[in-house]
Amino acid sequence: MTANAPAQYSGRRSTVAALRLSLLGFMADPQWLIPSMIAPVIFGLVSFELFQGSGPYFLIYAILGAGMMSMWGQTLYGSGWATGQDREFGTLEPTIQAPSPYVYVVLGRVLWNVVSGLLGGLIVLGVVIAAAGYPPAIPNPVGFAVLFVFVMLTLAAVGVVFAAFYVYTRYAGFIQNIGEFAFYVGTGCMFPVVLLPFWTNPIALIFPPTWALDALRYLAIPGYQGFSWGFGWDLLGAVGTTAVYLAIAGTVFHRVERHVLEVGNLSDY
Amino acid sequence: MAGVTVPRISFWRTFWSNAVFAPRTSLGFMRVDFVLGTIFVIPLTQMVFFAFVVKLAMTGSVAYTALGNAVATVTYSSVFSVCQTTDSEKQQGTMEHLLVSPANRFALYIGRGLLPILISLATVSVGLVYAALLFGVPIAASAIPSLAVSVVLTAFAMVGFGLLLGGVALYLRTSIILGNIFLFVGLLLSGVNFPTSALPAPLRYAGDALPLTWGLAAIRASVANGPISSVGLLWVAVGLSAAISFGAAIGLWKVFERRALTTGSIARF
Amino acid sequence: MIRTDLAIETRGITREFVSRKGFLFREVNRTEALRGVDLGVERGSIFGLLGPNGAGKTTFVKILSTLLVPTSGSALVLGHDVTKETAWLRPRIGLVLGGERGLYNRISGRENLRYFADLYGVPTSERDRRITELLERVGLGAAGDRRVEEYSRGMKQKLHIARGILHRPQILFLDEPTIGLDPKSARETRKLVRSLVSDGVTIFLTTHYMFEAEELCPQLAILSKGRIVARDTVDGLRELVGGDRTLEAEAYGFEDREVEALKRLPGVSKVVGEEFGPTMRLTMRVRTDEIDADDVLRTLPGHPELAVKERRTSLEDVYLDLVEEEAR
Repeated sequence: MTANAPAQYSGRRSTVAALRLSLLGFMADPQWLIPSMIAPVIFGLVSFELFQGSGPYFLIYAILGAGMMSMWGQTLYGSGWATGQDREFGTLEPTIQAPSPYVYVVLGRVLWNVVSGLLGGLIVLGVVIAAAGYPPAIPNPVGFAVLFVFVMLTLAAVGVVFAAFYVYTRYAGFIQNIGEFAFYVGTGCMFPVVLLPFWTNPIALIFPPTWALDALRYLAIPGYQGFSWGFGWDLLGAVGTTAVYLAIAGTVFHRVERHVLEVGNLSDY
Repeated sequence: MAGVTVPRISFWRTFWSNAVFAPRTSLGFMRVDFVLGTIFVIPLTQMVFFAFVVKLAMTGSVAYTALGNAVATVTYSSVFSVCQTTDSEKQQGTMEHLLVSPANRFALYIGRGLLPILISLATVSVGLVYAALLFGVPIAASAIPSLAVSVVLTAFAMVGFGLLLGGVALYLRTSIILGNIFLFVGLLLSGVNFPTSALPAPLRYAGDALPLTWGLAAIRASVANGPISSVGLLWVAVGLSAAISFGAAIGLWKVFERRALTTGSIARF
Repeated sequence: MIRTDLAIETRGITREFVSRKGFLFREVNRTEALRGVDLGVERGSIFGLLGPNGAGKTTFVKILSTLLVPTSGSALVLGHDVTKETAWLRPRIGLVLGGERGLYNRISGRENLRYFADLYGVPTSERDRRITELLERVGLGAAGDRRVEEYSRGMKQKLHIARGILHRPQILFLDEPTIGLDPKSARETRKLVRSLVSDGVTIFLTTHYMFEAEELCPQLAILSKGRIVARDTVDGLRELVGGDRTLEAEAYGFEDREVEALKRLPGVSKVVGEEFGPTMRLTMRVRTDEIDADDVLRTLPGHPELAVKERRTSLEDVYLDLVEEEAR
């Protein structure tokens, strides 16, 4: 590397660097382990209590519901929250100013949140099984596990795009707090979207997790009645919408970055 | 120095300046639209969420859950926002300047709780209106005076609890973690979605330590138009809970302040 | 036409900030931070930008370093547009904003640098060695593995500087780089800055320390209220404000006729009065060698307490003269 030929950034390297920084930050400040572990336990117990006695597959509803509740916060908002922290620490400016597009940094953080979200999901599984005293009867455990991870990835895709909002405005955290339960309602986190008034369904279908979670329920719960098009189209829809989110993430970030550079609020917190 | 008079700082002056000024330093209170969102949107979305869960599970009462969540949303405006204000002081570097001032600590902390108390009152009130109009919770006109007392006491108790947790931020890096935990803990332990009698004894006792448990019990008793003798006992419990929370908050703030000054954690966040 | 010999070329740069207050009836406040800045800086030089607080220095630096889009005007850095060619520019620009924020407090200085080295694509074969070298160079060799939250203000400033040059930029923007540094560290930083120039790096520096600007910057500009009020060498700026010699006369007050008499002295370009408690000081800028302290003493006979000093016009004198004139 000489003064005339600057180093080339690599998206992969920036993503790994951000993932590593998230891990270092977590190890430096492991107090966040507490809500990451306690929240899944609480959701697991609440979910178990609510679904207890509601039928032969209530355990699966409880596991899926609580698992989603604990993982969604982590995965969906964790990366956005970290961007909000960048604003507070004053590190958003130097990171945006670096040659590597900020979307790669967010991707790294999202990956970390997927991992910690999956751990939360495992905790939920353990808690619900412990409360019930027996494991749920899942017809296709391997398929369930694979699709479970895929649901997390669909969440991550939405999380990447949501994180742009935190670059856009310092108020993103408050808007997230206000809209959090609305998002859980609209995307079928604890209950199928088909239970909601039909006019809400198109809005819900904008989000990849809506499709993925419906597919997961079709796979795990015999006799499940979700969206009428069934498992196959749910899966396709999940893959398609996730691809769209990932495809637009770069453009969204580019536009948002441009906007904040024009408005000049990058250092506001 | 002989002849130099140090001005006396009035308790009420400290109280009012913190009540009026301090909220304006916190992002969440800076914008009226966020405050309105906290009051009008969060209760509705949380109530809808759990109502649909209960509807799916068919094991509980929608009205019971709706009323519980209407009250539980007070946690955002009391516990969570007070914790956020404390953390914000640290991040902005103003906490040290607060603590180096001779201002009466009691007036300082109580003053800071005034606006959250008012917003908490509004949040619960709006939640109760939603519960009555949308979720079939019957609230007789004759129950309103008793309900008003229960709601006011609950708001005070929750803000006191928030101040107690906020004091932890003086010693730890942040109290938002605790705020986060207690957002969820209430859902499990305070009889929000199912009666506390469904919980094992240790969890029931843990729930009894939370102001939300007593506040919600008082509000449920008021809605049920219970006799003043039984509601009154619950008021005493909530009032005691409020007194303990505020008292412990002030005591702990002093302890944590001392600790933070010794360890140098005031400036760490 | 792009001038390839210029590292920085700006034409008519303006920047307005809009803030809104209120809910129903929103009050809009507009602040013009920059009001038409034209500037050219040659490659491989150190250029200083001085200005009072709020003059627009940091805003200008952020525009040049691609962190802010100007409201109007054009800015080229290394011949490339700062708003349209950010991808080309960012690997080649180093930025040091300094201050207490802008670093990850909960991890070490070394980890901070490693993270940004990855974002800048510093070759992995070189990265760790470069980080160690830089930590030593800025005086953080022993503290590199401690958490940044344990650093003093000066240490954080050094880490900012290390980050700014980590990827060997072609142009480095330093916004008050020695603020918060003790004299020894500040001197070392200035030495570092000079060594970067000898490596071919262009340095654009903002500072409040006049001696620093005088020591480091062959060319300077003074920014006041969003406009460049002067741009020249230090000697050129001295001439601009009326001469490179300054005479100061101090006594318990002077009459107007006495001030007029001083103004009529040959070579005196300006006389400015200033009160210091019970005394008044008259500062004269003198272009020529025709007069000296004795001439002033002869012109002001009625002041037995009169003290007259002669010195070289400093950059601070220049700065204050120009900034105060702009304020008027």
